[in-house]
Amino acid sequence: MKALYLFIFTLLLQTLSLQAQAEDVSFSFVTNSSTILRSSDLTHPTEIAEGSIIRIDSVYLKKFLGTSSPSQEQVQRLLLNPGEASKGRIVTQSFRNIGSRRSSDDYFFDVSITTPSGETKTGSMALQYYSRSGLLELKRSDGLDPKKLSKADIVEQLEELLDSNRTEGRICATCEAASNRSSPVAPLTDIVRAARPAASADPTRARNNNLWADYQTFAREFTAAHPRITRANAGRMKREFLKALIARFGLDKAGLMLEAMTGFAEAPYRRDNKTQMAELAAIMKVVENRTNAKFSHRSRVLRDIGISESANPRITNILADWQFSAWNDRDNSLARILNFNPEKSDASTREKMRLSFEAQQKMQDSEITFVGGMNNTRVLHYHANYVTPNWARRSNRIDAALINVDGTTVNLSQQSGARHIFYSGVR
Amino acid sequence: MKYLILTLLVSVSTWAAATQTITPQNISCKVSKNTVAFAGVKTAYTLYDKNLTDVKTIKCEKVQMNGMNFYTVHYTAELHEAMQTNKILMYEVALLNKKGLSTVRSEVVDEFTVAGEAHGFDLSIKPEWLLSSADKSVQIKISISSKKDKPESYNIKFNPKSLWFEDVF
Repeated sequence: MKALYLFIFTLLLQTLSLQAQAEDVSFSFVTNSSTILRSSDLTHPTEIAEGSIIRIDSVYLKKFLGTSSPSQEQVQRLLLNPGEASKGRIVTQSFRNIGSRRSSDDYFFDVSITTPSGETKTGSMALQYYSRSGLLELKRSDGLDPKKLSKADIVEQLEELLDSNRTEGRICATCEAASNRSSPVAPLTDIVRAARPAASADPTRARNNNLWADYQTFAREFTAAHPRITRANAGRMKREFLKALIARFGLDKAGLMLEAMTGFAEAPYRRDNKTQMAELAAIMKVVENRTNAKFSHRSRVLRDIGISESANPRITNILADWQFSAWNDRDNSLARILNFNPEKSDASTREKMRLSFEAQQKMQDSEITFVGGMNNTRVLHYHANYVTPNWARRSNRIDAALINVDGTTVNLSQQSGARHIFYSGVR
Repeated sequence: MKYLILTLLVSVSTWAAATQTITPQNISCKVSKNTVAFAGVKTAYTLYDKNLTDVKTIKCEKVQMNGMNFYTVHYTAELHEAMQTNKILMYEVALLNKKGLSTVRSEVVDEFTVAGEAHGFDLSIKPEWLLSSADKSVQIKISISSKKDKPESYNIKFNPKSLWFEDVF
């Protein structure tokens, strides 16, 4: 009988201990680049120094996940949900309008930051990463329930972070582990590497060998010669990049390379290779349509490097003023292009770039074809699903953007999260 | 060491002799939509980007070099792209000729998405006008500074054939 009481008492103690442990579970994000913290009214952004620990109170985890002892995966679902924030284009103002600006609102929660010097700050953060001007934030997209995301979704989102060169984050299970840094902290790259299907990393599948190989050589040399791309020098670096690329490969070949780079920078990330190639091909289809239609005539950057705007319609359309924003002087995507290095870029970025060149070749070989509304030379415009430009209201929207990749039809209009909406006949 | 200093002095003096710095003249200007009226010029100058709104001039200058009259305008504006509206900070150079004023360089100094974080402009520009004694070419040394990084400088040179200031590589 005594033994039974002892057993029950031990069991009770263990339960209480587990409960207490569960209550303490929270999430820490260790920064190793600048991060933004806002004041509680979200108005005054403050930069958080490299190496700071962002600590989220477990009450928020309970509120969002329904448990104060979530698994690591659940915490990741909550925090790493890029959704519509592809490429950092989501605008804070628009989701401020959707949600309340109060820090107690479910879009934002209080966090405490411990800087490397030991100083502690408090403020509000939104639930999700996004990057603008090289800075990081956390936010959650509207309309998506993080609890309903599948494992594949989470991997895809992690890959999206990697793809955008946002590899700075490391995930840990408890604040304590992050504070003393004694426990192992898994880099995002490792998490993704473990989850990614082996086939997608097979480089031998690329068929666009010459262009892809030549471009890799060029990128390797360019990044070695220009290791530091900043916002201040990105415009000038772009001109050096273009001048050197065209000088080496000539207008035609350089134009094809620039088209593949544009696809890489503009297309949203997809985990599945065929879907990814469909996304890339759709961007390149717009480039090709614009090239054939001689849609754009003006490109200040071409004039800056002494090349006539009528020399090569493909290049002029890619580099046309304020058209494909990846080529804007201060756009984050421009830095992603200029920084691309086949050895130093992360695996996800490298794979997407390779797939862009492969998709281009498949378009030329008719292994990628466009179906229905997309099979139209008047498809000259697209926009992301989280914005509504004025011209979209008076244009023919393609409701089912169908692209056939190696015999499989992909419908880009049915992709979850950030996606592009394509139009023909924009006036 | 002595020779090194001597060589440096010779190099500096040679460079100084090879280029002459020209100080631009501040002038008044008025903006209406996307055109700028410079003081003393009859025809208004249409900015390079046609679809700008909310144009606000920061500074206008006139530079006379090699018998040419250049007008510069440093301004902010809103530019409506397909996906978003950007706030842009520009430095533009126009050349006065018989037909009026035409753009000979349009430099995007900084830009940010209006609906985004709206931190304001991080970058600023400092142009320095230079006249080369060697080939009498008109050049501008552009320095772009940010609050974080050291200034980045490069030269652009006026090409009389293309009527554009092209990057010097």
